[in-house]
Amino acid sequence: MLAAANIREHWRAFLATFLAVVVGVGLIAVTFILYDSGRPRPQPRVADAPVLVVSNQAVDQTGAVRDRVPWSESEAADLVRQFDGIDGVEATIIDRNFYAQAFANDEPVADEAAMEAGHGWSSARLATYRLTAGRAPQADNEVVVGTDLGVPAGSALPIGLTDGMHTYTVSGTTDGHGFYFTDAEAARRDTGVTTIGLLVPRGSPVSDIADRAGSIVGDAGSALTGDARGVVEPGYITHKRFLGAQLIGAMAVMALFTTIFVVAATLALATTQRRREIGLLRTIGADPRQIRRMVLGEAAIVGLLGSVVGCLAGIFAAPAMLASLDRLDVTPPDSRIIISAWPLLASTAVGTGVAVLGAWVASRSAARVAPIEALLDAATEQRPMSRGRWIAGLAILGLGVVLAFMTAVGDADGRLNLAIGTSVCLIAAAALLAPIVIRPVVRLATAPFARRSSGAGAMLVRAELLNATRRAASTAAPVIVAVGFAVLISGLVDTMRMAYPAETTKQLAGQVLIDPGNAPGLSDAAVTQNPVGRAALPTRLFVARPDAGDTVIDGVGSRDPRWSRPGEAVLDTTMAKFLKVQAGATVTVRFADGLITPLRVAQVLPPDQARGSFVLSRDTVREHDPTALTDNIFMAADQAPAHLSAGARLQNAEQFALEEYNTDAKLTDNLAMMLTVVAVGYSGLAVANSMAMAGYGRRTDFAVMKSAGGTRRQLLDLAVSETGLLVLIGSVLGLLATLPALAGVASGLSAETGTQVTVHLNGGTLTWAVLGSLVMATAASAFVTWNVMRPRNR
Amino acid sequence: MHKVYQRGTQEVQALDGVSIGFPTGTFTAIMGPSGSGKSTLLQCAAGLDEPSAGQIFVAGADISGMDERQRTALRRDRIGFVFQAFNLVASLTAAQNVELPLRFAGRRPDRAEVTRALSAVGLGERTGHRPSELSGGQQQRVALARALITRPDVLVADEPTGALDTKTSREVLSLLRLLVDQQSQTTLMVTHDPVAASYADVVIFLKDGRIADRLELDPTDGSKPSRIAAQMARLEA
Repeated sequence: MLAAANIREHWRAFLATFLAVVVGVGLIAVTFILYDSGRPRPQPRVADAPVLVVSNQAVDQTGAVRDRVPWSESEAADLVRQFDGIDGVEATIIDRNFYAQAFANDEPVADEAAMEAGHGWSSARLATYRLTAGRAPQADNEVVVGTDLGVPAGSALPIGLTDGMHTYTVSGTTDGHGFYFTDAEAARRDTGVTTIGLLVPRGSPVSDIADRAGSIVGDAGSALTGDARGVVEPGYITHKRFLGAQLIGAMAVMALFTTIFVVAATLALATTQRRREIGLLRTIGADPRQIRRMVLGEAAIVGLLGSVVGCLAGIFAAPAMLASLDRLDVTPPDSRIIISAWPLLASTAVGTGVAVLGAWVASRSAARVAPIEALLDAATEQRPMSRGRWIAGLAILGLGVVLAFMTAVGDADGRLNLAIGTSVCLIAAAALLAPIVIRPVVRLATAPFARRSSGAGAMLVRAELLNATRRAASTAAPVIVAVGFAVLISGLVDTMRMAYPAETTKQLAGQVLIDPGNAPGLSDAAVTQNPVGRAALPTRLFVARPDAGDTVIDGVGSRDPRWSRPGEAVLDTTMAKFLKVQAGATVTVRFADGLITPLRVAQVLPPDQARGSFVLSRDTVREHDPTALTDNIFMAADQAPAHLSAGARLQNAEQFALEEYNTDAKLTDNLAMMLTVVAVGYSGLAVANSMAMAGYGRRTDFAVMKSAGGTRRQLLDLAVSETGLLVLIGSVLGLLATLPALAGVASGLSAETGTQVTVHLNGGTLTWAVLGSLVMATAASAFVTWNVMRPRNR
Repeated sequence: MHKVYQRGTQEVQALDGVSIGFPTGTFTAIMGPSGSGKSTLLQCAAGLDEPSAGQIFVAGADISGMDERQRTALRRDRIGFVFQAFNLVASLTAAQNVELPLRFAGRRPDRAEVTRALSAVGLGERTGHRPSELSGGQQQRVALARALITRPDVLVADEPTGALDTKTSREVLSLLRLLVDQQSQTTLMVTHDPVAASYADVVIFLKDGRIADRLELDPTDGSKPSRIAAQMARLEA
């Protein structure tokens, strides 16, 4: 009763909390909606198979679930035989996917699905596609292609495969994408099976059949029906979804933390403003627990209301966000917004929870209000620093300093996280310790004006800020956070961008590479044509680890005679440690064709990115993985070939690496921009709120000043210059809090790349963050002051 | 009872050996110049503050040894409060304000009981109004109704008419007097207004943390306010 009534009456005090929750839940709802909308749906290419049996997924070295463990051809044949025996199964079809790409005028026809565009003709029965012309492939030199290629039946078509280019006769066309070869040809091109489709006549009991299939496959895989079949999709789609999820996921996490922070700050302020009323409640018999429940109840109600509005905002904003992700090319093709209940319910739960969490501190300080405060005349300013604030501020500051050193000396993988951790600590410490910092800074900054000016302005600003440091700190804190985050994010991106070219130049100087152009990789033919240079053939190897189950690792087929003996493998120290083996031991791996082979560990060498961590002979890899493609061939510039095979391009290695990096950087830039906007927007909200609360709390002060002869203009100037000064102080503190982390990153990168890396700040972002906070804060302050001084007719 | 405050490095003797009893059913006014310790006495007696030394009994129970939890329950169940201003929760209606102590105690308020309490202070018609829709005197009467809803042993009033004009002051004071006469409501009132004090049975004068004087009032005496004022003037001199 009390909580709800308080919100009705003091809605102004809860407005900022409400808005923070609306924005936070809006962003989180958008994330959930996009995640839900982007969940895999059955691809048309396998949609006509009611049951898909897939093998289990292995985990990678970090523990993330990745590639499916392939069945060997004989294991697969055995499964097919058993599935065929299930009542109601009309056909059992092994689905094969391999690299196939049309060439026109000796150039590969661009196709992002090329890596898995080749299939066996029987796979077409799994699809919703039908023949539109001609007939099925009957000979191994015949192929059915999608009509989207625009090649009529009967024509000859050069098709790039992993071993090189071949000319096929188009025996027919189909209304879907892809290249459908004879099943025999497909089995040669993709050995090893991860997906088997079951066709059943219409009206058959699909779930019964799936259950039977599931029990046949046992622990080695699962039988999927309905929407669950969506996981069978080309890798490039999975990758795009992953990128998009990372982008909006980071934004949602940022929104989550900032919402908690803003809610905590605004509610803490709202509580200090009503100490007297809380004192009254304590006097007439409320115990601290009840006060606490009241504050938390208020937060829960505001959180719930804000969540509902936030969900609506999220529903409206989702299409726009999808469009911008589409522009970045990080959404699965044909994505559309689907609104279902769970994203909205989850966002509401998160929003309400976040509000209650943010109210935690406020509720504790409210519960500590003594009943006698109901009798005190004015809400006197508390001590600038409570003991808890001192302890927390110094502890976090110490942690930040330790982390800053660790950032500088730590290894590359941990550095980014350490840098972010350092900044978060220092920013929090700056916000907590702001009251003690503000005093000397204000004294210093206003001293020249106070001495010289004859007006009241400078004297008042100085006195107000020096004597209400806690209020001043609550204005400066959000600015510290916003500017800190803006500087950190943009600074990290820029500093790393400076470091990367330096490192690349050093490593790749004087090298060229042959790159496949529009194709996903170079064929064996292209590799044979260029016998000089590094031509790694990457493959995936599966190792059964006793404690962690099936694990997938990157294997590299090398043509370097030093480590390409059949039956042997060369490991680097990291991999040897991971697999717990030493030189001379035997590792048993499962290849992409599903065959299990023991390999002798010939050598264990220090890590070298150019060599790889698990090196095999190129021929061994090709023997077991017909789908593998060489990414590119590196060589010294003077060894560059005069003639290149179809589609391949000769590139300056350095140039190429930078271009690749810039593609990634575009994504990072977008992420950085989104995060900065969120951070600045939130802090603007928090500053506006604390200005507003402070302004209303100072009603009597203003009345006194007015009666002492201050004009409305003078008081407005006072409020605005006070706020402006605080925003500037907050900006400087935010900047200072971020520099140690950036310096740590720069010095770590310097050591690693062996080049001079200095901290780079993005001036634009910094200016934008400071000006944004300044405009929002002064506008709020001016509005509130004007509103408070307005003559009232009551 | 002693009460010592620490103000900076200085020790301030707010109450310096005060020993006093307030019999059931009496109306006592506490007066004194500012800084005399009258508010401290009231706050200690009402369990809002703890004495540095000494004991306080409310309805037979020693409250000086109570912890904050017990004192919360004491304030809720045994003591009713009326202050100078800001007496009501702005967001609640008059009726909700009155039932608040019952709700804090975890009792379901009886609507008739609340209406009766408001009628007793002449506000039976205004149960649904918010404080902002009530005059200062009406607000103070709602506060009185709330203070009495738990049938407290002691009613504590700190400058209850300090923010009211003469006419509404008189209404509120008459109401207090009526409660003492009809329901034997033990009442303690701190005031600096001789007219307000004249409604009491006894006036206690404090100076420098000690009881300086005590004045028994005769209900039939018409010149009470001027006698009290004269006494105050002597103390402040």
